[in-house]
Amino acid sequence: MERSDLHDIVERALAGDETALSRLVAVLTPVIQARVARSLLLWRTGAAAGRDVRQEVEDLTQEMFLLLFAEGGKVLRSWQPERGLTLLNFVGLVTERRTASILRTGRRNPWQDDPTLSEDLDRATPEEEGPEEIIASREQMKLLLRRLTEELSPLGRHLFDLLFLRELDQAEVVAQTSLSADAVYAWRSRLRRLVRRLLAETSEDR
Amino acid sequence: MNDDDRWLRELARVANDEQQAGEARLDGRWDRLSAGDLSAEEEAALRAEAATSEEGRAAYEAFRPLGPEFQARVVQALRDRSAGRVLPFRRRARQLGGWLVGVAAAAAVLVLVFRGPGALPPLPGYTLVPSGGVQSLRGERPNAFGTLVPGSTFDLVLQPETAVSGPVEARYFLERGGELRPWPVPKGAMQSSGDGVLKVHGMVGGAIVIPPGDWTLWAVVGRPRSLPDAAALRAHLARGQTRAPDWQALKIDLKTE
Repeated sequence: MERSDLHDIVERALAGDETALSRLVAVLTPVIQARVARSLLLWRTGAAAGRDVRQEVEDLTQEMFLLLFAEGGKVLRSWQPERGLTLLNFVGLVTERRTASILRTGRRNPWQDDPTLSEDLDRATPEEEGPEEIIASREQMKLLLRRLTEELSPLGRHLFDLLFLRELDQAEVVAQTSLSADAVYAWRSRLRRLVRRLLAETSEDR
Repeated sequence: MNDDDRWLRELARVANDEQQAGEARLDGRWDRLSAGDLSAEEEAALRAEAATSEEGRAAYEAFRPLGPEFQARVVQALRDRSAGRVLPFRRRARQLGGWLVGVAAAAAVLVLVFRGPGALPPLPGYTLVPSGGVQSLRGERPNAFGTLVPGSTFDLVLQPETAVSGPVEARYFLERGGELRPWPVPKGAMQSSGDGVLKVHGMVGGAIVIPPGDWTLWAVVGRPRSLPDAAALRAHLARGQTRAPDWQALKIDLKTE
């Protein structure tokens, strides 16, 4: 399905068109289910590992839909196709983020949380500590990655992948996201501040 | 490169390693299972492979498609939430035990809606049968509207060559000067005979609103959930495609004053 078609379906579903809503649910269910299933099977531990996985997948998949449509579809409306993420990738990243949070904290009720995907990561940054002193093991790196996944909006995660995983230069990121060079620079700075904060919080948790 | 960048790159490396490890444990076939994209042979092979371990059995249960009934429940939950009823489905299902017959009936309807178009027989060809408008002095043109003026009757019948089983619906579009846009038809002006015949009936200037000028009216008839929207139809028409397995587009020129 073409991007413009999906955008049209999202708009109509959010406007209350029942046919479009049914269509959207049918389109998104497989990707949400697959991301939830993958996260559950790879990450769940302790008591969660003993639960009925099919029921967990159903519950979490439904929760993702409720999250996407909460507050008049605030999360769905934050999808901006021109930033380079398809709807399915966007929803997949929202699902990963939410599932990571639920698996880590055990909090299940989506209504208790602010469902917005704020890109404002400009929180107060604690004093820096030497990172080598904070994190030594790979397990802690995985934990840090999971926290990063929880904190980042889909766009933030996309930029993290472009800038640090694929190591694209500024011009390539601008081309792929339609963001301005200044905006990409600002994102790089946000990501730096975020990792600094997470490192400090990880240190406090030890 | 500063320390923050080094940590971000290290995290990116861990992310990449985790992704690869995850794909090694759960390869792309599982995603295709959820999407219903595996062939019967592929699914049987995956199932047989999964049956050899506890982990595989759990994966099969986790990725097995949730299906139309689940989707219907999600749609209902979203409707409930939109209407201010926020009971989660599972609790709701238990609490409304006495209503289960009604829920089941509703689910049956929704299951019908969610059935893939492929589950229904192919549609026969359709023709457009227009009538109404003011005919010119030269006499009635066959299979054409007269000039549509306020107060004219407007009738447009979508007639299948043979009776149709299963649901069909139609969307309408107006085209002029290379621009194609949806033409909303009020529900009250749409009629369905139940055997595949669809009809639009109304009075120009009343239920039927078409801006003055020369237009091409496109009627797209097909199975529910299969009909293209304006953007998709534009793309199909640009390729010269006026039909697909589950829908067909028919056109008629008209003039309004």
